[in-house]
Amino acid sequence: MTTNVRTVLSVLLFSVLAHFPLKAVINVGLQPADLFERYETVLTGEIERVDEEAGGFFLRVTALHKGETPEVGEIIEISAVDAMAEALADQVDPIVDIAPGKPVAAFVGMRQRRAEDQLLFYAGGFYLGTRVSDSRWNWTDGDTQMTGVDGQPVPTMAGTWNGSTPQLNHMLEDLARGEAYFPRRGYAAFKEDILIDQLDDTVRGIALYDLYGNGLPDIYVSSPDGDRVYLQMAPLEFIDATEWLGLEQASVSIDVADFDLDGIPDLLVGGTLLRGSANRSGQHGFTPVESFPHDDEERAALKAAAFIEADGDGYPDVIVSLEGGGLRLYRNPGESGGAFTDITEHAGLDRTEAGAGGNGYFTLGDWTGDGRTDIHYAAGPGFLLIQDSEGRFAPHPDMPELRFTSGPDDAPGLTGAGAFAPIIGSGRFDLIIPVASSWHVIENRNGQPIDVTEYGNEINEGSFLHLSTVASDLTLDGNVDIYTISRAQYGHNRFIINRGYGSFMLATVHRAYDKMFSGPSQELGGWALATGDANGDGQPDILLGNEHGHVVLILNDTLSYREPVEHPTDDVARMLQAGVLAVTVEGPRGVVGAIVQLETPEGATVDMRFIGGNNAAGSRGPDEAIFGVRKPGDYLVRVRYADGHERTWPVEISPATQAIARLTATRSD
Amino acid sequence: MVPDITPQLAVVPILINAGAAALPALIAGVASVAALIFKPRQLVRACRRHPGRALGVLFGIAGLTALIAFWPAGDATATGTGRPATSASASTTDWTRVALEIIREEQRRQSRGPAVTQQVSANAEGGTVDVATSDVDAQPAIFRGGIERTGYAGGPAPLGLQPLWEYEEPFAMFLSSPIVHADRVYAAWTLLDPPNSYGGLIALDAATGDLLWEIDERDDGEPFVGIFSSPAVSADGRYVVIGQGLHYDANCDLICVDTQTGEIKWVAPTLLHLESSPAIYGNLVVIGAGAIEVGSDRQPEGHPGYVLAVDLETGREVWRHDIADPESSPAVIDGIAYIGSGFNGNAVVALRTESEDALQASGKDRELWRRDTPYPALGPITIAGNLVLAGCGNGDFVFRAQNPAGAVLALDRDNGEVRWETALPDTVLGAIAVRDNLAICPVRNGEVIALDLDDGAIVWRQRINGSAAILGGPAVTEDLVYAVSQDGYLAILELQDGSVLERHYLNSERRPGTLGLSVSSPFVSDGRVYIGSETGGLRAFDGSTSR
Repeated sequence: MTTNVRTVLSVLLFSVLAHFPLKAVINVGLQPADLFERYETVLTGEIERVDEEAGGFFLRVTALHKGETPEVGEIIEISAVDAMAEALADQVDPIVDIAPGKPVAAFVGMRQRRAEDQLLFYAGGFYLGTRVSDSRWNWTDGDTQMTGVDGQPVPTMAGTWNGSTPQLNHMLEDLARGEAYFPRRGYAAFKEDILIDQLDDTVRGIALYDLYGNGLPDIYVSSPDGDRVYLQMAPLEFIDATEWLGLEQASVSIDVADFDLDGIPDLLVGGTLLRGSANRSGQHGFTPVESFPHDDEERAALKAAAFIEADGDGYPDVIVSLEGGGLRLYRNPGESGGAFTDITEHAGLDRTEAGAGGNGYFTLGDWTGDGRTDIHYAAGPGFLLIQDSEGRFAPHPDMPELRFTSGPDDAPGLTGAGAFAPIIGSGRFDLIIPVASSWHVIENRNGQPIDVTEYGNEINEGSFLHLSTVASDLTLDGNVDIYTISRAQYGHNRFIINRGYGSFMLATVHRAYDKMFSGPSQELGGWALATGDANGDGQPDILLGNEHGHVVLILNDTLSYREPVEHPTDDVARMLQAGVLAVTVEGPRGVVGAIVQLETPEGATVDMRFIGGNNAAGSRGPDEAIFGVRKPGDYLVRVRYADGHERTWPVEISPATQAIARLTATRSD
Repeated sequence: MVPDITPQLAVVPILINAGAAALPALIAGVASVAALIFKPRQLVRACRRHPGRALGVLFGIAGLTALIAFWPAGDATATGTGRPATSASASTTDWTRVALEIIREEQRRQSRGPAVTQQVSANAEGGTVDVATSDVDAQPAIFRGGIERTGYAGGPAPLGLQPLWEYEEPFAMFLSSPIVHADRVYAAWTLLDPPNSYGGLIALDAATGDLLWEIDERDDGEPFVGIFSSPAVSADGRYVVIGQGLHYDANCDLICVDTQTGEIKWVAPTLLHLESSPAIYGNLVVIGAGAIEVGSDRQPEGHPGYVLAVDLETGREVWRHDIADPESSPAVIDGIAYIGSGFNGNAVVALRTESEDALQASGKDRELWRRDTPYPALGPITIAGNLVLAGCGNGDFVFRAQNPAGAVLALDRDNGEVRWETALPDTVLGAIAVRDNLAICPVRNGEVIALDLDDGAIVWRQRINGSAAILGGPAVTEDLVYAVSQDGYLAILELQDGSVLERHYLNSERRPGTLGLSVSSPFVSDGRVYIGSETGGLRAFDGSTSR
């Protein structure tokens, strides 16, 4: 291993200071699985103590993933020598990840000339060395640097791994069990864009939802030019039913739910609640019920409105965001009927510390896992508002401060519409939030919000003028991916594939197939975005609207590429085994804010979705949860309705190449 | 490969006396035979077409040999040569080779005009280097065999391929393309072991795959970095030259190795990396030093790139000329080096190969002409008669462009004018092979596309394995095309219509390639196919030589 003294010091300092996003392009040529295969010994350990004077540390082996020695519990003395010793001597601050209690992943001895005793270890960054004996290693060097895509220095091996050490150790455990999945390519494909219609003005909100009740999702489009409704009367045959349904609104957002639990979907068009009466019996149309905010002047400042479960009774309540007016919350009267009640003050949303007076989009989900809907509000520094048992919202004190301005004039309120989704694999809903030209990945670590964006490889390969993000397993591989629209007229919309273990991939760059997107809408920006299965094939599709007035449906075609090949890579072999489960949640009570969990028969949560949370700046997808499942077999589906009702179903999931598993989840009461 | 045709001739004085009169006829006869021997395929054809003539030539040679063998010996001193009549030393002089040299000289004059006179120029260090190009026609074996990039050195073209041998370096890839010269295979491996990469150059017995030598470090012990460049062997077979470095590497060396000992003859340092494959032209080695582009706009970090020419014997720099990102592999003919300019260049450039002094004396610029291309011209340059063929496109070896596009341009060698340009669905990165008025193009979209050399029209197109890119150049024999897809499938196609005859998997069955970096190009020689792979090492196949 060559010594590069020149770069060592800068790398060490870089390790100390590296808590900012790295644009670490994935090096598909050398992934942790390759290291695992090449090295004879792979282990994880914990730093017992650091010898700052001599330069080195003592590592206690906590797990031996590959090889015979050293044994678990053994202590290895690691001494800085050569360039490393010089660098450490010159460095004022200690390396943050070389400290007592910190984890280390180590690879020792390659089956390669000159490398029989080569050492590579990871502690927040890669370091090099040699094995003197099983209990003594020399630490010779740090990673070198190269220039990243943004022109900034980046460690050479960041493309192999730039995640957290615990996540790497988690992957090593999975590798040892033969269960790791960390794709090198973007295994997704979409069909040609279907242009549903072209309006004369910007499409501001969009919904993919079965309004007509024939089992096929219809499309509602919000636009200042006048809203449109396209009913899907036969598979992928849409008719403009705007006039037929008597809809004459022009709005900036759309949401759909059955607010009165009469079994017919109702609309929240901008701030106007419309009671639905459209069904196949001939009754059709929507009747205005109430508008939010109640004050006309305030309503003019409406940014977006959505249904939310704010009190746990299963009747969808309403939340609105006002430009410069913060959030307002309105309680559904429920069975008693009557007007909605403004409970903003009761909910604590009138407080400055909860974003009162702000200008931003909201995101709905369940951060705490208590079944009550929480809110992320992308105004000011950002607020993670946690709902308590009394229906009051309080900002999470540990939520990192973010910045929600975008564009050359640093305009507020035009980004930040994100999603709660199980992105990091923490078994909880994490949070993905778009900002001007990037994202923040907020891990839900036992309720603590931890910004882990820096570990995410190409999560920083942003576009510009990001508006909103939806989370959906578009690759159907068991990891929830993200799709983000840019509000620029010719903005690049971004499809980011979640590789698991906190790493993300800019999908189109690493696409596995000839084409990933075939139509032009990828580069025409967007103001409205929803995902859901539009054609009933079990795959989540993308529906978007843009400044050009385009209403575009992009059908997911990923499963048709899952065909047996002669010499599959590990990634491909795993995907060929993967199954798909599509769950449709019916209520009507408690659907908004319901949580669908996929569990092993033993009760371990594999994946989960929040119904009604992919709001994406005023848009809405269907009441469904689509799961890609890497290990076919028997599972349980558990639906926790927003009113506390719970029901489970056993499901058997086969490889998607054989069958798509489907479940219509209805309440047992 | 030159077969040993040295007959058991008589001692020198005999030849001198008798041959003085018979030399013109001897030269004519031997010239014909030699010409055919150097082109064995034509020899076979000629024998089939004219068996009578073949027998006549054979009897003629036999008769001439007998005449020489039984000619009465004379007095050496009487010849006036002044040489002592020492039969022992005289018997070691190979006059057939002398004659062949004369024949070669004549051929060279006919095909390439007057010989380039020896030149001496000042090098960068103030010394002088010999840049003689008087030996330019002695057939160095450059990337893909020659400037037509056929990847074919003659002999039967095998079908029904059977594994003959394989050479593996643990976890290493063979990105470089092998070359066969004098029954040896020269190839290079690359081991990615970030933050470093390592490389090695090997020489194997072509028949057995036995390792003859390997070199993976400089004399000072510094390991070679990864090698993408492909080796070139000097015309006399004494040296093999290869570039070093992968795309993010800087300060990489051009290396010359003694083929007999496997020891480094010289290294020529550069500022950048040498993914380009060197061309040998006389005593000159020409190679492109590619830029290190960074950032999404692919701007060069450091030097933007240059073409380097060094002396084959010493490695001393003869000249260098700045060209943006010349990752392309040059082709040199008639004293002009043609090379593509990649990112931030988008051009094909023709460079005079004379020394700086010679250029100054003649008042000429280094650049003879430069022709813009619609995309970065990263593909190796191919010469087809008076055409310069260049592949270009907006993708690279690792990434496919968002909206892929590419083209092949046929330029006039003399002035760079576009004779034709054919738009293709994606980038052409591998070498275009030329045979029978067809340009066989490896296209990144997964197709092998044959273009008509007259007008660039697509004659046929064929996929090897779905959309798996074709990144390496095809080998083209008289009637077959050997092409490889990036996921490791070697296919044999009919040259006439592109139909696929057979396919073979090159990567390790246990460890299929995950990178799509089967970019090594096949080389066909004497009934065998040699090719590198991503995870399956370097492989040799043989097979049936009749259809």
